[in-house]
Amino acid sequence: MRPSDNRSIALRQPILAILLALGDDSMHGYAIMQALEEKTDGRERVLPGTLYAAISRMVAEGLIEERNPPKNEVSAGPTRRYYRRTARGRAAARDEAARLRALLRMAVAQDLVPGISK
Amino acid sequence: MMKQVASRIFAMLLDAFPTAHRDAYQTEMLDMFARQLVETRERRGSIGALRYALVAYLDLVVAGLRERRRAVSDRGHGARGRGTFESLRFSMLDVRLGGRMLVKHPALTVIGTIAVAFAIAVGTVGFEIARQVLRPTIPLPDGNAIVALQNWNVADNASVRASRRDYALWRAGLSTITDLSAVEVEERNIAVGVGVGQPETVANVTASTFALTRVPALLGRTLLEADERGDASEVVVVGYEFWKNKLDGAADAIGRVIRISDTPVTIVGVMPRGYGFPQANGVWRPLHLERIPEASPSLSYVFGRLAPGRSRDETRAQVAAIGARAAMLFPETRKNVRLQVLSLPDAVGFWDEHVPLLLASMNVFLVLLAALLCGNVAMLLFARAVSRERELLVRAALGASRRRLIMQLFAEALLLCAVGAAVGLIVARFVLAATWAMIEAKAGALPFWLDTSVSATTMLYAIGLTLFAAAIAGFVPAFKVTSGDADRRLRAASSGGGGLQFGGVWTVVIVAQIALTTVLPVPLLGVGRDFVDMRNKPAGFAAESFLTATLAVDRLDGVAASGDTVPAMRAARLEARYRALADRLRQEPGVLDVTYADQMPLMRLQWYAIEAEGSPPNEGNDHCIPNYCAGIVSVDPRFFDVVGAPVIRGRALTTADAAQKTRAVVVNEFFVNRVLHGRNPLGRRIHFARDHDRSADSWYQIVGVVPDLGLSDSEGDWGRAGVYQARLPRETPTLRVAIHVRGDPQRFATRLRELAQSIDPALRVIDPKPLPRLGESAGAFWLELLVTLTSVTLMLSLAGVYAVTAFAVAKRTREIGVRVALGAEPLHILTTVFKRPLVQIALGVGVGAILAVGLSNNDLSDVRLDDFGRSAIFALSTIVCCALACIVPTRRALRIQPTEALKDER
Repeated sequence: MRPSDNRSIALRQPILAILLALGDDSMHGYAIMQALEEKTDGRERVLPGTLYAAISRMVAEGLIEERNPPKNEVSAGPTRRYYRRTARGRAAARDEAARLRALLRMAVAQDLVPGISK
Repeated sequence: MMKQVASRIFAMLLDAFPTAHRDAYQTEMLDMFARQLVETRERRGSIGALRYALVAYLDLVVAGLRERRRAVSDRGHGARGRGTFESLRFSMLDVRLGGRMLVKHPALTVIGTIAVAFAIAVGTVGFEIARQVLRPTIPLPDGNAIVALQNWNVADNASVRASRRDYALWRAGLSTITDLSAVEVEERNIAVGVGVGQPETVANVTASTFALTRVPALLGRTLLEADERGDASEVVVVGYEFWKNKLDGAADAIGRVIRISDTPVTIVGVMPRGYGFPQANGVWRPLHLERIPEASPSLSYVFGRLAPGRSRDETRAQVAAIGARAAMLFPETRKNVRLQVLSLPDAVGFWDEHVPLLLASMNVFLVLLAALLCGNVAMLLFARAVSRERELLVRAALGASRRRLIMQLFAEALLLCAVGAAVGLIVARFVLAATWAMIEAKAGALPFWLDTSVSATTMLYAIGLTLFAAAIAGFVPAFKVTSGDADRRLRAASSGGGGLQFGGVWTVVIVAQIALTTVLPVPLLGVGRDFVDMRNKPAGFAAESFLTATLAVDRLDGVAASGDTVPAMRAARLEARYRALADRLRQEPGVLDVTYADQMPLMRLQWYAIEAEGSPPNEGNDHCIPNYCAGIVSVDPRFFDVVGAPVIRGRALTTADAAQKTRAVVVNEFFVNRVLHGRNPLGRRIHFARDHDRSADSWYQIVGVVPDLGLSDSEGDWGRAGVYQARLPRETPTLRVAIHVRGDPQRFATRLRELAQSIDPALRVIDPKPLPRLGESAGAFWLELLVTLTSVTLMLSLAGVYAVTAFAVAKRTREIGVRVALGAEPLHILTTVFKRPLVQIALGVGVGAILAVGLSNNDLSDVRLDDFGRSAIFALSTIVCCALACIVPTRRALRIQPTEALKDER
């Protein structure tokens, strides 16, 4: 694990997407992918290689943490690991969202965002 | 099926990740991939699923490599060069752009896809055949743990069949190999219902064989120990193919009675499809061990299973100890014999010793073909990249890094290669099935472990080949197109001219391509010529009106084996049957005469080293130095009269020669010319080097000369030198008959079987076929295959050279327009335009010609005028193809108005 200041973490697109898909719930990898697709109307789709590489990195960075599976979990698939967003992950997502908001404001000012005018 | 294959590939590609990552996540990743694949197929169909799988593979490999990089970096070893793998990032945009490019340039896509598909198909098939032959997977539960025990005589350097006594000793003494089973393989006539008996390979096996292979019967049961008892009723288990073809897949097959050498036996079981233990067997009978004399070397194989948890060294040591014990107990027969453990394929020994080398050379050849085709695709992609030069330069000016552009071009090449690979893998399956079928037609039933599926290892090899193809076709043009001074080229491109040219590197690539295209067919021309000559060589007699077959007689059932295993007794029985059959045949209206020999005309003879009295030492370049070599053939004294090729000098062989086993022989003309150097052969003596007896009685004396009977003219082929001795049917090692018939000999084959059956149901007629078909060899098949592969490669190569040359000339449309506008003469323009491609072609053909001469064995005396003619025609067609590639765009450029040409932005 390489702890570092939240602000210095460059949140690449899949990391932010995973943090947002997780919300405040505990989810396994496949559920994260489903949630992401669902919450973005199918616009965002993450592939297994990228997803699990990102998860491994996020656990190492302390952005998410592993949790025990819910007691009532019934699944036909393999035994799965569950993850939950940490306070550090939440802060990182908030900072990144603020950065994106600033950029979005610029885009709106240039009339580049359909459906939102200046 | 698709899900399983795709998941297997995904599982293999997981190796891109570090071990720790794999251990932690691979199950979940595989599960997620499989689920997404199924969902995608439901939503977008099979094509969508295939697209998803390919993108997921790419993503997996790239993410895996990045994780590896990070793992190294975390350990503090990889701080330098950060970003190398970071740049290897594909996005969906790259893939989408690549897809768009494929659609935008359909001609290039089609040629490129066909070229890559062809390269992948032949590469995959070659590799899969090599894998299945050299390292097969035995398709039985834990099949690769099945081994064979074999006695090896170190003095004779030959295997020795196991006896009942060996089997008992091994069973009692071995703990590292379990489930021992004994197998005796023999040919038998089998008749179903009232039909004529047909030869089949029957495996007499101990009941433990089925416990060893762990395969239950599909219908009924397998053999039981009770079936092996002397008083048990005669039963048989048949294979799936036998059940389907001979019994029409009848549900009530169990309990039916078939005849094996006229002994009625009851079917008690049908084995499932694909079961053919130990090799390609379809009929299993109980082995009555008590009928075999204790020390008789009767067992074809003894198999067992490596005990779990015992090391190989332990097994080897125990086997050696048991072998040593046998040598001590039975010194009279086992003194020089060592016991050894072999794999099932090695014990069965279907392939001859040259096959591994042949397969290795074939794979090298196929990889070279693939490289040639990939070079071709690289040229095509470079041509396309040049046409997009301005776009790439603008992107670079807007901040796209060189790596980014390279990866995008690589992604495009990878997509093209992936599409080609997908097509190639589909085609490979059919090609593999066809190849096995052709080998089976030439070499007989194939071992049961060979199949038409493409293994995971080969799939990985195909992916490797695809990446190799993509690397050549993607990186080479990408590096070239993104190198150099971008600013200068952007200015040049913006003013309408092209900054990039087919410069030095591409000149080398084009020249190499043309050189290879010229040289590739040359070695094949020489080999092909020999085969064509052999096929067209007149046999010297009316071979087309002869039917030939091998005769054999089944062992007697129910008789103590000791009586029947004496070879002389069985041979005498066979001779009696042959004489009866020959008499019956001569009475048939369509039959002119019958004769026999152990090797027939048109067959390449088995040769041995000989000494020839009065001949100087052999100075040829072959294996026989300082002696000569020749084949010895045992024939009916009337043989040469029956085939219509009587002696041309001296006297013929006589019935007395056969009856008294005299040492009088006749030789063929090839022998006289090659061994005796044209000297008078009559009265000369020859001696076979393998015959250790050097007394006067051991020499053969030449009494006559017969014509050569239809073999190639190759001087180095000792299989053509024939020495013929007269022998009775019982004395011939293999009894082959030749029947002279009126009309089509093949139509007489069924009648021959009927007559043989009416004389004795145990008389087997093996492989009846017209005599000319004996001249067909497996070599011809490989040659045809190589010629086909080379022809397709050359066609694709020429198409590539044409496309690139045409493109290079078309790129000069603007320049031509300017020259026309300035009043240049068309002839002058043509000279200018043609100069560069023609120099490239001339260089390529020249280099190819030099290489071709080098390949012609450095012996120009062997290269005939028609070889040069064919090579010249081929070189000429390359030149014409390239010239056409220049003429078409130049004519177009000359015809358009200069103002239009100046607008041309290529």
